[in-house]
Amino acid sequence: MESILHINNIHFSYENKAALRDVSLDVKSGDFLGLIGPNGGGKTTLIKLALGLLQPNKGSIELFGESVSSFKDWNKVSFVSQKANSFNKAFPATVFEVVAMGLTPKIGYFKRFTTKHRTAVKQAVAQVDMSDYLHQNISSLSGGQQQRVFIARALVSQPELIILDEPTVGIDHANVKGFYELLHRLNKETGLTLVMITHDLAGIAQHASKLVYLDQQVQYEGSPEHFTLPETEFQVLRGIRA
Amino acid sequence: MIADFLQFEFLRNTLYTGLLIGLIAPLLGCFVVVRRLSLIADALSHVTLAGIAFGLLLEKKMATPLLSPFYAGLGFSVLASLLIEKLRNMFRNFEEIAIPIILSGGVGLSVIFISLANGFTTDLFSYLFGSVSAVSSEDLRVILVISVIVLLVIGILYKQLLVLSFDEEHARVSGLHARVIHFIFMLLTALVIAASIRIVGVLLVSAMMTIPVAAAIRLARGFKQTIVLSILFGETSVIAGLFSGYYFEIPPGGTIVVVSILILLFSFLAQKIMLATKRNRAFEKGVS
Repeated sequence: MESILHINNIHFSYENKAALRDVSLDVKSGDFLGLIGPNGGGKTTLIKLALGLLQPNKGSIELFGESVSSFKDWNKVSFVSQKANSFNKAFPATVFEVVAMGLTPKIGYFKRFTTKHRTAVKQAVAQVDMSDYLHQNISSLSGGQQQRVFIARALVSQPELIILDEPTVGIDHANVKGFYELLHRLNKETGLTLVMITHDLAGIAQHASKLVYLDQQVQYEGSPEHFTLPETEFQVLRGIRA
Repeated sequence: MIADFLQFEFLRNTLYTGLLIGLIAPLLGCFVVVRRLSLIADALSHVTLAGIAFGLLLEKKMATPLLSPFYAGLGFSVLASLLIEKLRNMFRNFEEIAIPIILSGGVGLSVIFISLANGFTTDLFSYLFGSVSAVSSEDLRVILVISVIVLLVIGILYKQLLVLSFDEEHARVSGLHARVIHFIFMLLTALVIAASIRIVGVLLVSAMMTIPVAAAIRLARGFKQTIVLSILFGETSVIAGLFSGYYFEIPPGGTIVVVSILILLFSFLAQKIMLATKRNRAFEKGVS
């Protein structure tokens, strides 16, 4: 199967503090990779490196077989962030306008938004079951509905890889379940490759095809069924350690 | 009264300039407000005052003016927009600190230049609060050029500015040239502020960029509707403010801002009525 994201022996430090040491990872087409690990374990750093937002001190990263530093075809990659951090909740934009933003890099500066783009937006909104809310302001939706809209924004440019950084933070339990089912469906039905950072081990283990536990180094890489939580992380969950 | 505005050239200039400002200030203001940069408009306007005071000082001290107060204000405003960006980058974790630095710097320089020019003049007063009679044909031409630039740039960068305003992180990840777009946006803001000063005055210019938008946000569905309503409210404020300012012989800056605040109050009321109507409809649906 085609390698979508290939990370080879990378090292990365913030000033003198090592964040990642000798990390290698391979994401193949159609994978649903769950990236878990403790806070400060380097998950978000790894994603930033994969998106070319940071440069590794050592090692190499390839997206679709091309070095990330010279990678140009960003239409193939979409990113869904932890919405609570980056999204202005009072922003006066409709669901249609938010999803259409996903086409901006594709359309570029001088081309106009056409009927073809309009149809693509409506299709992406339908894929996440939000068609009834097309002309509602994003601020009037619940956290779970907003995150579906962000998935639609990621889908609209028809990417081959979507990277999600803790997308379920702040969403209630019932909506998280529906959210995982949506990702699972997209992964199975369209063959979309997904890489998702999460702390929700129970949720991701049910739907991901592959799990990676990262604590500065890759501590585990394999199927979710065979994964056991390291003792230290287990203690954190039980409140024994901070 | 309307006939006066059409008959006399200086009033015609004022009316046309007002209409242009009523268009471009709320248009750019929509992006300024949603990006939470409203105070930057205030900081830039105070630096523009320093530029104007510098221009007036030059006019007074030199027989032939090298730089008119309007152009000096424009130059200072553009320079300040660059400086704000520099400061925001230098204080990444305290970005808002750039605003009081620039604002107080602008006021400090203004005080120095005004004192050196031996105090306030009628001309300075018109720059502070706007004037119905101060717009020359030359001013109108410059403001027209600025308006065309603003409309063209926003026309080209609308999609990118929207993405940047909504979610900066997403914009960077999407490969948009976020820094360049932001830089252009700051330059446009500086230009619009300098252009608006002739009509609304330094002290009230940020109101033209924010109050119509604040009213529109209460009522609009979506960003495009917010822009359309903001411009509608901006133009209404300018026209009503100019005519009433002329009639009562008050600087138009004051009347324009008061009209726009009345529109804002009206938007609160309209929003309440809209919500109540929605609730009643939902209730009636439930009953039937």
